[in-house]
Amino acid sequence: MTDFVQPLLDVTDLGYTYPKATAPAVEGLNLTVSGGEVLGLLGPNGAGKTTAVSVISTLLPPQRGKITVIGMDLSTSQNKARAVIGLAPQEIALYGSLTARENLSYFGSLYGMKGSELADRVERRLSHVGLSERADERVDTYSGGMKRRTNLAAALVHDPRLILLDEPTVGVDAQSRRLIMELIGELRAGGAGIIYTTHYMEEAHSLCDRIAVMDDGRKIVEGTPSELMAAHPGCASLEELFISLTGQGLRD
Amino acid sequence: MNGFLSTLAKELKIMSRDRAGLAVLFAMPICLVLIVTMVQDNVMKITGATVARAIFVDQDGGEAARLLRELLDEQDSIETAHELEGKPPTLETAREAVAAGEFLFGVAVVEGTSEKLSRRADELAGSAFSAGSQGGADGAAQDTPQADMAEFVVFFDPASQGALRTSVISALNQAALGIEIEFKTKALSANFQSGLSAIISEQLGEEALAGAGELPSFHWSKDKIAGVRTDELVFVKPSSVQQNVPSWALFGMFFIVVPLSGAIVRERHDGMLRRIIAAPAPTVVVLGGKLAAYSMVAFFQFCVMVLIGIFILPLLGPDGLEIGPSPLAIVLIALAASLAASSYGMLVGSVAKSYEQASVFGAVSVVMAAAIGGVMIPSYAMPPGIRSISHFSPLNWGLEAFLDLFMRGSVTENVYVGGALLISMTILCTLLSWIWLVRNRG
Repeated sequence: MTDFVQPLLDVTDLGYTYPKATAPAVEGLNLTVSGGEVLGLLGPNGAGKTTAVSVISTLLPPQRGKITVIGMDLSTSQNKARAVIGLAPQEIALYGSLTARENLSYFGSLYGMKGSELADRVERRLSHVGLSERADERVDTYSGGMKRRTNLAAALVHDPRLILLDEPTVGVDAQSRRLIMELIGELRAGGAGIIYTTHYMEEAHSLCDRIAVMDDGRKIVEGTPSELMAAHPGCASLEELFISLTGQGLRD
Repeated sequence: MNGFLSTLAKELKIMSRDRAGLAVLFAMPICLVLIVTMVQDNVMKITGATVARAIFVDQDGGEAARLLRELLDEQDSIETAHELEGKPPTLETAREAVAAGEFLFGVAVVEGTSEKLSRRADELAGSAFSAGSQGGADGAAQDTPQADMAEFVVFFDPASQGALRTSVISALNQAALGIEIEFKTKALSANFQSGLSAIISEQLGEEALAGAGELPSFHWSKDKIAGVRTDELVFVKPSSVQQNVPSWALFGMFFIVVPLSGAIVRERHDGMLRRIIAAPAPTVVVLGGKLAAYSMVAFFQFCVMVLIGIFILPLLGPDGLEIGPSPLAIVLIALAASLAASSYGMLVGSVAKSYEQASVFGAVSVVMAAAIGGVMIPSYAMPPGIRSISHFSPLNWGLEAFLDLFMRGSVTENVYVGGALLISMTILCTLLSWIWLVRNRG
């Protein structure tokens, strides 16, 4: 008898080509993410990571293939699936003239929360990212690290099961980076499935349970960090492995 | 509903914290309406479309000057001054004051005018009674009077317009005719009995005159028996205030396009829109909340402009704005215009590729729509070609409706059509921006 555990996210043969583009941004991508797992999505600029995240988060419609989130097919149950997905975009997607609390309350309200439930969740997330004391200050007065942490908290306010983090540690100091890493660890321990895109190889090595490397819209390799290193014995680090897989040519 | 209300609250918070932006949004139309109204009010003064200030010079001190002064004082459209710096003006000081622009025109009754008028009227009256064999077919006296013709002198501000000059000269001619009739009837009355006596004694002899007893006297009533009544088709007198307040209020409301389109471009570029679209709340509901928030601000702008028209403009010279008998219709058209302006701003923000593109295109398109829509120059004064395209301007839809409500005081077809077009525009722009944003959401 097979013990079948349904993955949180199942992506099969995903394809997406932008209008007027000559080549697909994502082609034949297969991914799975289970609860309590962090999948690192690595690749040079233009590899298709952000496009893949955009399609999974329902921002872009899949042109080919199938995506299910907790068994819900995105092509038929998009709105239900949205309720369990949390997206932290690459940009600081926050209103600078609002406070962190106001930002989180607003984005939380778009997930149907209100009143004391919303206030409690906002307070909890602010506490998780270490911003409780400055929660009522305008975001445009924050440092880069504080903005990043607020950006992450806004993705988590509705307690999503599948979390999509698009380069969440860009431009932050060591202290904020550590806090974000710890928070991701807690989310994993809580059973969330996480897709994590980054250019920081050490970060991916230490945080991710599995790593998928993309280039030219395709997944070129996938496995646990130790599996990948074992399969490429000539590479002393994940960064060397990454360069050997994707080449040394500049991409942008 | 949650997404609608939270977006509405969020947008109002953001706008309330952008005090400089709000100040510009309100200060710009307020300055425009104050400046343009006062400038146009002055233009209307020098063209005679409103009360004109005049200086009256009395060098005569007689009956003619008194009568002319009374006639001028009776004119609602003329405000006559009789002193300069507390002294009666001379012809020279009055000319200087008018040339300096203190008055639009001056009227002088020169020394001896009453005397000349009396003398000439007496001559005419005398010749009328000696005309038994000398009268013409119409009975008019044929003698040429010996006295010089009396004249009133008028002098104008060089900046005054032809229409004003024509109407003042016409009014003075009418006044001169009234004075002439007054002098003539007095002279006729004074000469009636003696003239009649002379005719009877000349024609019938002294005996007949002696036997005639008391001769009839001549009384002439001053009561007017004919006049002109103006049957106004407008509920208030057309004024720069009634025209400019709704016009520039609409212009200011449509300028909400600039901050709104800029806000949407920022949301697209900074990723907030991606968060919004990735959430379960329907994007069109979120856009509805945004539309409602900006429409509330635009409507508030309109209310501020109307209050300025009612309470501030009268303090600066022009008449106050009159709302008329259809305030509800005015509110509904203002709401429709607020929604149309905001929805247009959403569309511009959705389509524009950059903040600069949105702000420049938004501002220029509103200025063009205002120009062809009749905000700057009334559409009836435009060449036929431009007038025909003015009907495509949303500002024209709102303006035509407002002018009917503010000037004619009635809910006309323009009001219904304008309101319907503005609401249709709101629906169309909102749907287009929703489709555009969702299709280009990645």
